Amino acid sequence: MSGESALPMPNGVPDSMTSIAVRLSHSASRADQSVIAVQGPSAAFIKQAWSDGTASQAASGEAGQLAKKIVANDTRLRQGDAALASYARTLRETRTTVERLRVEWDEADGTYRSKLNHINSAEVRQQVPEQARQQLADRAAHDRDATQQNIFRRYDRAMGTLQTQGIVAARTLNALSDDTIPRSKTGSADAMRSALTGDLSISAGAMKRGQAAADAAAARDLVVKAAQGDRAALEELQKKYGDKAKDPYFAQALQQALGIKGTNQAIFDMLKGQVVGHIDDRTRNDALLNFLGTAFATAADTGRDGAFQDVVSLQLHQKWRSEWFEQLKADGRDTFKPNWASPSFSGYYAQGLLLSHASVTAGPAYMDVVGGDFLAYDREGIVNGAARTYIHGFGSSGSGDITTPGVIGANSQRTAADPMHGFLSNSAVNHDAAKTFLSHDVPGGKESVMAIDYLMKERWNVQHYEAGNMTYTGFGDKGDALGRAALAGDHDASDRQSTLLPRSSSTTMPRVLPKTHPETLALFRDILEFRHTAMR
Amino acid sequence: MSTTYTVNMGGLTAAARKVIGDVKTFEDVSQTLQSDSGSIGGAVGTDCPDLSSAVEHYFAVMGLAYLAYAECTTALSNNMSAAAAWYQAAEDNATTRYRGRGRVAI
Repeated sequence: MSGESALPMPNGVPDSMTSIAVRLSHSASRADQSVIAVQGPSAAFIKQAWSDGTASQAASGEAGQLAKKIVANDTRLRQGDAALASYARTLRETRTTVERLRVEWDEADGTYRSKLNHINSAEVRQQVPEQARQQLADRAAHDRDATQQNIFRRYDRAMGTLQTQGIVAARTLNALSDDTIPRSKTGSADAMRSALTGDLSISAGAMKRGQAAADAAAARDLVVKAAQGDRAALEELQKKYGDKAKDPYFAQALQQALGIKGTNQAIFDMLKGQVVGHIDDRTRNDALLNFLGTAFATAADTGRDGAFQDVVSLQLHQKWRSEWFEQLKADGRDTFKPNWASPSFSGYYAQGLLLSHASVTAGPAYMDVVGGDFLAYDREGIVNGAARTYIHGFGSSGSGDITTPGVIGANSQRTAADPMHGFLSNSAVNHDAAKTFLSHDVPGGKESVMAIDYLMKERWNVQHYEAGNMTYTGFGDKGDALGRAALAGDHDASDRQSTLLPRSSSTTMPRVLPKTHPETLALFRDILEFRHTAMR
Repeated sequence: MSTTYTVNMGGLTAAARKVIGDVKTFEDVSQTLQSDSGSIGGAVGTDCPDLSSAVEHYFAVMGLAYLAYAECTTALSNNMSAAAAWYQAAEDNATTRYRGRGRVAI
């Protein structure tokens, strides 16, 4: 047996391993230098630049934390380099040793063969008896075997050393890996990422915002197409982003991507599609409005602020929302009219439509800031007992029934076109929102009045011109949404604010009840009974 | 009366480009590690299975770490840019309000 067969060569490539190990150190240096270059001279400067406000200080702190993590990882790269380089060195030495042992092995074989040839030569045959020659041959074989056994022991030792060095290197690399990401958290790429950045809440929040912005940009394009009647776009929107409408990160990003005018345009496109006959299935419009309305309400609701788990995301969201509310107030009073020949609607019509379709509350802050302005706007529009227009929304085009792009429950289209319905029905799903909306002071007339009084004493009797007559009055849903909102806002008598509402209602309702529809009468009777029960 | 913002606007915007370090460097390191992870197995060989699996895991973890750090740095940079814009807007508003009061006072 040759040395090559008897002594297998360890099968690594030390030179390749060394060059990879060197790259680890080189990478560590590059990353280190980058961090030092930015953090070193700039550290004081960044601290100064970020010295204003808790969010900035938190972000600055996290920047320092991240820099430490990177530097610690750079150290791990160097330690990895050392471990691999050490193994590569041992591997190289082992391979050299094995090569030498193979030569020795083959030399032992050669010596044995040489001795044997000599023993079997004619000269020896003539001089040495066969039995003695056999003994010489046995001795030569024994010497060869002894030498090769010794070589094999040295081979085993060399391979053992290599194994030991490999185990040491493996232990070092495993420890470095586990220091970076604990083994228990390496089940998936997401779990590993979470382990790496889990304690970097601001970075994680920023990444969430980035992802939400990317999703919202894609969703915006689908919304635009779906509003123009593209069924495939609507299906894709629902499939990919339907569940995200209730995610505050996505909801905010969608409002920013669409813009208020963009949302109005989508509603306009739905309405126009119905007028000109491009869109014949209003349930698809309803589906799109459900998505838009839910995202709208989610973005508005302060009750969802807990989803923003880092101070920077929270402050950015709150600042954006506060500015957005002001924009919604301005837009609500504006008229959306894409061009001079277009039909038009008020911004509050659009908001009312979205609120009517939202499956979640827009929350008390929205009802306070925007809802309060809407109530004032609504009251300002009442002149001599008549509303400013017979609808807030899109004018009909001959058929007289195109007042809303969708169909809201079993109510009339006119109900859907009245933004008050949207504000009331959305308030009705949340106690605080309902209480805030109905308790609002509404300016106008001779004096400010509480919203519930305005709605029941004035709004109830408002005339809406319709085809030249004033037969339509008050609320298209006969007070259903108002009743539900009153019920939602009325059940907690534990503080001063909520006790205002029952007092107001108790003095107002008896006066307006005789004028109301029998169904509404029954509803309000239920409300009063409920309130009295609750107060007892 | 003047605004009381302590933010150095020019510096903040400049610093926002590289908050922690150079994002490109972190991405390069991540790519190098991922690339090397493909060839390190052959270089190490199969004589020590413990080392083979440790090397594979090490390169995967380190590659992902630098990728995550690049993402975090980008996110914080963007965050800082947003903060810069926020402060700039606030300062502009404050200046406008101040000028408005000035005109009234005059």
